[in-house]
Amino acid sequence: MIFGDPLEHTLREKLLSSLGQARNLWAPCLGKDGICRLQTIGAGPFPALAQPTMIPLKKLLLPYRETVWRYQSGRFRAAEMTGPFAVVGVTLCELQAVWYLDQVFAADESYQTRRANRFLVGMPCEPDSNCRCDQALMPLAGDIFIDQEQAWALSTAGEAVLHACGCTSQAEGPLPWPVGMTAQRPAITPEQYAAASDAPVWAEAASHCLSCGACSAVCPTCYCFDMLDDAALDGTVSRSRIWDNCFFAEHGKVAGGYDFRPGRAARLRFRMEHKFFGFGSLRGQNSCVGCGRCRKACPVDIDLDQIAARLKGEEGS
Amino acid sequence: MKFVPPIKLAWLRFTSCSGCQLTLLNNEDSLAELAHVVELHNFPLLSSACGNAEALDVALVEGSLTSPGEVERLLAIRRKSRLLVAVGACALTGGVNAMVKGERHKAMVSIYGKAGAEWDTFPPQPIHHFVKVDGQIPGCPPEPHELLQAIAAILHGGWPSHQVMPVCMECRINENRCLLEEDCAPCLGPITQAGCDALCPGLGVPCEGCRGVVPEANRDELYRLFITAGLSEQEIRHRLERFGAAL
Repeated sequence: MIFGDPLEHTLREKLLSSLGQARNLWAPCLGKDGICRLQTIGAGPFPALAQPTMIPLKKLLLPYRETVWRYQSGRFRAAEMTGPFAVVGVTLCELQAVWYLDQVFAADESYQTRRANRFLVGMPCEPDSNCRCDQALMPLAGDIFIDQEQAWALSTAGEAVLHACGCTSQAEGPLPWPVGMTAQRPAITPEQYAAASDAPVWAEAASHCLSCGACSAVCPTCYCFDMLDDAALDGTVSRSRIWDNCFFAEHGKVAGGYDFRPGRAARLRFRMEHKFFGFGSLRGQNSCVGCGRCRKACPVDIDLDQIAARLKGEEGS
Repeated sequence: MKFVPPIKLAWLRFTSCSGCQLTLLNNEDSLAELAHVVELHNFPLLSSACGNAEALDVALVEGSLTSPGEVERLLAIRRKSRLLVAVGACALTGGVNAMVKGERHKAMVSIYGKAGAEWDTFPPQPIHHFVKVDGQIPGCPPEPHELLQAIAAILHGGWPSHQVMPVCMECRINENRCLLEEDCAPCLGPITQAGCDALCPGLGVPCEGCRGVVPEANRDELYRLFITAGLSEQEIRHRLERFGAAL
């Protein structure tokens, strides 16, 4: 359902205070060092535009390190969960990324608890040269989307919040996706990818890759994790889930020391396969939402899209 | 390996600054708890009394080795310890001590005078050059909680969990401004083992590499980046040698 009352200043304020009453509010905040981070904003102010943050929304939905359980004084204790929260100023591409994570973690209890606790407010963004978003890529998650004039309800929860704020009539038109951003997206097929497994571009990119893992850390749809067990002096034992990264030397290692992906070239290829073609029930779903974070974060300017374009050119060579 | 608390633990210090011992003591909130599970037999920073236990459960060893006398002490402690853990950069790689270059005899005399000529020393060595090391806790110094975690894990018959990953990962997680990317700073984050929560880059100081090198580090590319950033070959070498990251 779409709502169309002009979003006057007072309505935006109303929305913020209504969300802030029951929820911890988060928004992209531009720091003095030029880095945009998702931070709690207390009572505001409401951001005027959506902005990509260095670490995407996954930091709230799939925290870098979370305790899965704790064993203390003879009892198992489940992890403590964060309460209701709202994120204001989310880009459209990131709402797609959240939809993707929702599919991946559909059967994950702690993810689903956080999912139930969240409320996401999308806003228009200002695309830059790194942006390659694609409206047709996948559906959106989220609750409402607002620009200067209109509000769209994206979920029943969003509809209820807008009603409560007195915004009742339908908006016209589709969501304001940036246009012309997909021109540089190389439409590489799994067959083209597979046929080019020995293409020179892999060795070339691998010679530059520092294996720092920044691309995957900042990616809104990268979700690999590891499980770690730890003990404390008082006898407490805890199990944590922590982000893993396909560029790290032990990511592809299994018992006995066998490595599924020895060397940087194999790890780069794995990242492209996972990102562009997906695994398991999501095989065939490109999960690169085109936010450009990886391009910006890479210290040696490796760009999966450029590699894909080269692979298409080099196929069969 | 099973242990029944309190475990008999000794801290041995060789050529080092005692900073690693201080780091353990910086866990003020946990020291009382630690005293319940550990029977301390030697800890030079706390007491000059030397434990003379016939057998130890755990020996924590700090510092590099620089003299035959130190080697003898190390061997003796290895013989009577069930586990021997190397603590800190000096014990693991030789640390900053190992940067010393040039003719050793001349250096000894220039620093200590004539007496220096008499001392029997050799260039600083990591302890694994002499004895079997069961566990390693890196860093200059290690993070305070790492020492507690290691002792707690040993009590449970294990070793602390550990992710093999570079400092860059923790730096990105903390959403720090990238010193390598933004300032072309000679940051060793991409090749240095994490675990410090990217402490230095988080404070705007390029990583010095004190926690040692990650496996399969791409030194060639980092070298190229540093040359492009205007560093001389010698500057890069010095930077890498500070904590033994040079090949």
